[in-house]
Amino acid sequence: MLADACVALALAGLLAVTAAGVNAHVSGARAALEPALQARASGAAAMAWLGTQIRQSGALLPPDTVDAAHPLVPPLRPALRAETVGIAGDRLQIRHESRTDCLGGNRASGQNYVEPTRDPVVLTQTNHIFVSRTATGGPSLMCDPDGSGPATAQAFASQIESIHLRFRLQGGTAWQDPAAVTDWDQVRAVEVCLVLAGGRSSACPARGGSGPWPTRLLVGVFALRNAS
Amino acid sequence: MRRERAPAAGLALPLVLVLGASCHLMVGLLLDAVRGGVQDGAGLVHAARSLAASENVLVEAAARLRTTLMFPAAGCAAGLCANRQAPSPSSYDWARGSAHTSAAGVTSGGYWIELLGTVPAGQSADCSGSAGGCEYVRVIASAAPDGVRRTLEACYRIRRSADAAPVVTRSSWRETAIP
Repeated sequence: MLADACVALALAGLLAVTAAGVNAHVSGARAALEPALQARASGAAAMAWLGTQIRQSGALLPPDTVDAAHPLVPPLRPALRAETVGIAGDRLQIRHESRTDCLGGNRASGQNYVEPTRDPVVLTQTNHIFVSRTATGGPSLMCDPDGSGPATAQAFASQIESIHLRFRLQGGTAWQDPAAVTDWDQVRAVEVCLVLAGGRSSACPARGGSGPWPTRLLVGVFALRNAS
Repeated sequence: MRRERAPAAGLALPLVLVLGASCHLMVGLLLDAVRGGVQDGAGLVHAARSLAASENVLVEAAARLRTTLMFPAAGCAAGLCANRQAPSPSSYDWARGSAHTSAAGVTSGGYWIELLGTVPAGQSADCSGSAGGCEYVRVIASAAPDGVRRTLEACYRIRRSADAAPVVTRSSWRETAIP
C-alpha cells in the first residue's frame, strides 16, 4: 500500500515537472509567435493595399459623355515615381484621379490635373507612401495625401521598418533602383519589399537577397495596368 | 481480503487530469495563434483569386467589343447599357440585378458595357482617319469566387471602319473602390 502511494506520487510529480516544462516552452513559443504573426498580418494588409494602388496608378475617370469636345484622355503620366530617403528605404508617389485620399478622407479640392481637352479639369490625388521610424506606436508605413506635410501623414500599417522598391522599365530585363530611373513614364512593374519589425533589409532583393524570403520580409511584384 | 486505496493514489488521478487539461489548453492557445496567421494568408489568396477572376471577366467583355454592339436607347439590355443609364457599381446587387450579363464560369458576377459616346472619324485627334468612327465604352466587370468581391472598371476606344476589323484600345483600368 505504501509502495502504491509512492509510485502514484512519483508519477504525479513527473507529470507536474513535464507539464511545467511544456508550459514554459509553449509560453515562450507563443510570445515569439504572436508578434511575428501580428507583423505578418499588418505587412500583408499593407502589401495588398499597395498592390491595389500601384496597379491602378495613373487612372483617370472618363467624362460622363464622350464626344469630339470631351474626348477620353489617356492615363496620367507619369503614374508614379520614387526616391530613396534613408534607412527607412524609399518613398513612393502614386497619382490617380480620385475624390478620396489614401486615408479615406473626402476631398472637395486638391491638385487639379489640367488637360486642355478635358473639361472640367480633373481632381487628382497624389499619395506619398513611406516608412516612419518615429511614428507613434513604432515604425509604420505612412501615407501622406497630396504631400501636404508630415502633419497630415498617418500610419496605416504598423510594425514595418522599411520599404525598398525596384522598377522594371519598358523593354528592360533587369530591375532598377529608384535612383537609376530617369524616365518614370517607362515604368511597367514595381517590386515592393517590406521589412517587418525584427527583419533585416539586407535580405530584400534590392540589397542582394534571394528567396525563400525570411518570415520578417514580404516581397510583391505589381504590374501597372495603365501603362502600355 | 479487501485492499484500501492510499489517499495519495486517489489524488494522483485528478492531478494528472488537471495537468493534462492545462497542457491541452496551452497548446490550444498556441494553435489559435498559428491559425490566425493561416487565416491571414488565406485572405490574401482569396483576394488574389477574386482579382484574377474579375480580370478574366474583363477580358471576356473586351472580346465582345470586337463584335457589333446594339446598345439600347434607354436602360440596360443583355449587358449593354445606354450612356449614363448604367447602375452604380458600388451599390449594384450582382445576385438580383438585371443590368449585367453573366460571364462563363462565374456564378456571382459578370459585366456590363456602357456606351460613353461616339465620335465620327476625323473630328478629334483621338479618332483620326476619314471613314467610320470611334465608340467609347466603359466596362464594369465583377467576380466573387470565394465571397471576396472585386469590381473593375476599364474604358476602351473601339475604332470601327467598313474595310477593317475593329481595333480595341484600353485607355484606363481601375478598381471601382478607391482607395
